[in-house]
Amino acid sequence: MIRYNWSKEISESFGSIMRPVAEIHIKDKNKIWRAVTMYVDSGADVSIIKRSFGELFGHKIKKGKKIRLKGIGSEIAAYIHKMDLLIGKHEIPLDVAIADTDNIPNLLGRKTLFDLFEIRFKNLKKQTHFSKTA
Amino acid sequence: MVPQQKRKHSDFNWLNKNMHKLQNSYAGKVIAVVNKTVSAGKTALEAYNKSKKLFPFQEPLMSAVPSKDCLLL
Repeated sequence: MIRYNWSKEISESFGSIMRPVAEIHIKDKNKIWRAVTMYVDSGADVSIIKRSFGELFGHKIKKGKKIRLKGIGSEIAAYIHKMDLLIGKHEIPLDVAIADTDNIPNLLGRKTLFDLFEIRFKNLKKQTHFSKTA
Repeated sequence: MVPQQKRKHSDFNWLNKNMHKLQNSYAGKVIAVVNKTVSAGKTALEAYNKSKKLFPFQEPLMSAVPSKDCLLL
């Protein structure tokens, strides 16, 4: 099982707040594993990274399949790319959307990932646990 | 095993404990962290390149410092 401690952050409205984050490695276009932090978001359909992260990883962003992402508020464009992610010791291929903006957080969403791992938000421990499914 | 995984995991845990302090200086910026040393930029590439100048042989942990606005996840 992989355990990630939550991140202690500040919200102007609510003061100190704990948010679930994970340490993920993403293989870039030169086959180098890049370490990134991403929020674990069970409400997001798909995983998404900022535009400048996609560029750093060597992706030609607009070559991916264009999608539109809607949250609460405005809509943004993003492009789906196939990436290899390393979560703990588990390497998994995943569709990741690269946003056309940096004005979004990096998110781990449900698509594929939540089928491959049992993900538990241990809110009292302020940890997120990932267990690989069989 | 990914190179420098222990160090990056240690930086990850340090970051989680200290993100609220980093928000005072780096809110809205991308950061690259090596051995608790933060390099910041407007983009991932800018932060990464600054970190590589300081630590040419270390692969940084890349992150983004949130603003203090409410975040809906």
